[in-house]
Amino acid sequence: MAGLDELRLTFFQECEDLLDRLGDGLRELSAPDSTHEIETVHAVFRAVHSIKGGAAAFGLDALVEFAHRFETVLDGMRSERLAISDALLGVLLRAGDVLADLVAAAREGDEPPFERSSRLAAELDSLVDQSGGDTTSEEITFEPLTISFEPLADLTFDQPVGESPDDDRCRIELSLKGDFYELGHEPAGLIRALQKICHTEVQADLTQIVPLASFDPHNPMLRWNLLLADEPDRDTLSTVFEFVEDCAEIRVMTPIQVPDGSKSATDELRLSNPSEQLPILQTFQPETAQNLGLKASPGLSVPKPSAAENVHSLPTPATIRVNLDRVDRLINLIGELVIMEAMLSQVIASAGLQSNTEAASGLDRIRQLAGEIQESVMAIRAQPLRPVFQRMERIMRDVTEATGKNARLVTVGESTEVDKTVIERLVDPLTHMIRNSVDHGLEDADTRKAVGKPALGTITLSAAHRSGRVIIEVSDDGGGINRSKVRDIAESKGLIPAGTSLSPQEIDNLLFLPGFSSKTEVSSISGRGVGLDVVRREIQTLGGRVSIASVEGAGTTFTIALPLTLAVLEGMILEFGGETMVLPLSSIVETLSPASANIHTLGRSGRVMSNRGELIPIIDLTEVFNLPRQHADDQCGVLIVVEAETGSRAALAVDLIRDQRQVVIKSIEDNYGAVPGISAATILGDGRVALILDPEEVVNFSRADQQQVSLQRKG
Amino acid sequence: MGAILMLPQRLDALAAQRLLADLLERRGQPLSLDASSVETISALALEVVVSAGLQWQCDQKPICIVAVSEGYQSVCGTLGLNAYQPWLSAVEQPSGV
Repeated sequence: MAGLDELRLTFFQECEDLLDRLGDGLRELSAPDSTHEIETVHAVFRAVHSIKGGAAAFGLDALVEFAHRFETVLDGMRSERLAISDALLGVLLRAGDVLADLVAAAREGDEPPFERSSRLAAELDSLVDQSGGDTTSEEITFEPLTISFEPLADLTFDQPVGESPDDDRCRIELSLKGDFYELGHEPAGLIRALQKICHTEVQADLTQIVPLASFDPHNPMLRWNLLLADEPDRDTLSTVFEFVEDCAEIRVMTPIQVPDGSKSATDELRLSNPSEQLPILQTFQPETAQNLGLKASPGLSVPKPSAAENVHSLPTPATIRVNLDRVDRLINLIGELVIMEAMLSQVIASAGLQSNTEAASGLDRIRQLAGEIQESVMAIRAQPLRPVFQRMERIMRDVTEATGKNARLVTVGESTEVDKTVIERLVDPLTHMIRNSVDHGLEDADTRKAVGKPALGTITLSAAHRSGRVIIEVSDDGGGINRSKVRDIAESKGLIPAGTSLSPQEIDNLLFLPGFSSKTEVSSISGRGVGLDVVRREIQTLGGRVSIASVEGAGTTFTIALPLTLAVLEGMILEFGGETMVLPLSSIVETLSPASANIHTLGRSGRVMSNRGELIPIIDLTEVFNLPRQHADDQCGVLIVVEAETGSRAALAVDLIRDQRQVVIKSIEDNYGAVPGISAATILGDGRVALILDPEEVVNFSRADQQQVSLQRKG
Repeated sequence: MGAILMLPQRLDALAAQRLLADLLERRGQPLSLDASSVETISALALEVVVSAGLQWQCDQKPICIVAVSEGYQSVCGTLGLNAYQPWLSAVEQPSGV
């Protein structure tokens, strides 16, 4: 039998997809222009039902219990006992959050969030009470799969035991395939589910069972004939059997009204065709029965596909689940290939071969291919930001509930793709920024009305690819940063000397200083001891940058710029102090070879460069890394101007710039530990290891000098 | 009287394979099954019991179920099986719900 752990893992992986579908559906229903397509309600119902079914198979009672209540409300919506309203959708959105929490708790083996789930369960129950529905628990022991209905050409079947040909009840023949039990299903669960729908007579068919000596547990032969007093509709049957279509034969035979009004024929459907999905229903046209002189049973008649169904039945690309380790291994190998290509390139160059030789052109082709393979592999790791954005919607609900502020989240560009690792590590910074925007950015409703703004505040979360980077913005339409207050706080906390002259942008950047908090009382929302400095640090570790822009009275925008991948970077190959290092291109503003007249000495050892009316402190990298100097003290080979997060600039002095190329990032922290000023390493074409500089840290080394320069410049 | 085989509390699909082995070991001798402790039982395990009943009948050896639990009885009822003689065909023991 398949390992239970493996099945469990698969269940939780499926849960992620199902929760996504649930979120998508609820968002669609909650959209201001939503027409509340019933098919969307069905899709949401199926997602919750599938989670419940799988959870039951693993005995996750708290999850099953809550999903059942959730599902009952959705069922009320499906059957139009419950009218869809904003209040109802609000409860469903929060129920979706709780369901996600319960799944997470079950996956991690944590205690389920009983308090919250009980509260939401009570709200769901009260909705069901309004609809006159039933919230009693049922036992279901199957897991999510899809269903298909397929008409059979022949309308006859072998007469099963104990049934009269005149019996006008709907009959279901249930037989199991070899993997039915291995997948964690139990026929008792299916039968009980049917019995909840209508009175069902159960007849076990033992005729195929062999004596013990020949018994094969992988080939179950116990079958059932289920005689239903009422004729269930298609959706109801789908609900019961949708999870076992791959591993069970389910033949549904319903009596059909012939033209003279008597029930004398049988229409047969087979609910087990693993190769086809639900939309196959549309191929079972009424004329199939009509051609045979029959009228299709009303309950199983085929609805005309709605617009939503048309959308959902569009072919979706085939996907497979691949362990991330395998993709990472592939990425590492591609990295090695790029390095080998660089080495080969260097060998050919050293051999003095002309560029028009076959060897050189062959190498060019290899280089192109390696680049294409690298891009393709990176694309495998690229994931849309949608799941992160969806989580932010939940954060938004939590924070508006806690602050009592009336606000909505508008998301733009959620299909923008980013490396999976980046996505995972974006959750915390974005969470904090959204909380911060609602808690600090938005005014309360009265203040907003007083200044002529709508009472409902708006937080916009957007993402887009720009210049080879991913730009994510969190903006609010609040009052903007109160700069005098920020300045006062920074001074009172000793973060800046009193009376320091600062530009508006520099004041805004004070928010990113460690220890800064504008709230006089610790807020349970954004003031959790995690400041924007932590956000900035986290973004920096992802190779990104975060900046802030604010307009008084109009709002504030945080902008995060991230690399598309953490596996490669475009860098400048530098030489200084006899060493070769790489500087990320993203941090470079310009490179120049200044005239000595533009270099000025400051104090005993400090130097600045005047450049377009600006004094930029020079940081000699040989000094920073304590390397032997290759040129005279007062000479600068090449200066590379870099910009720090705060907007301040520094000129890094190096001996020469050797090349500009894409390098494969190799972490040194795992094997060596963190090195100040160094973010990672790479292997060059000649096989040597080159360290990759962290310009932010390098600039921070000389922060004190910078401040002096800044004061002098402004003074 | 022959051997008595106590069925375990939890007779899920995995345990059905062990039950199959246990029953095969006792083949050829009268057998009593005690299902009084069974709390949960998979339909596959019940199929093993049915198959054992058929085997014992073929071998012309007596087999019976001497005691049943509520849980066991409930599952048999749901699946349309006679709790004390599940190997009897549906014709012999019609079961309604």
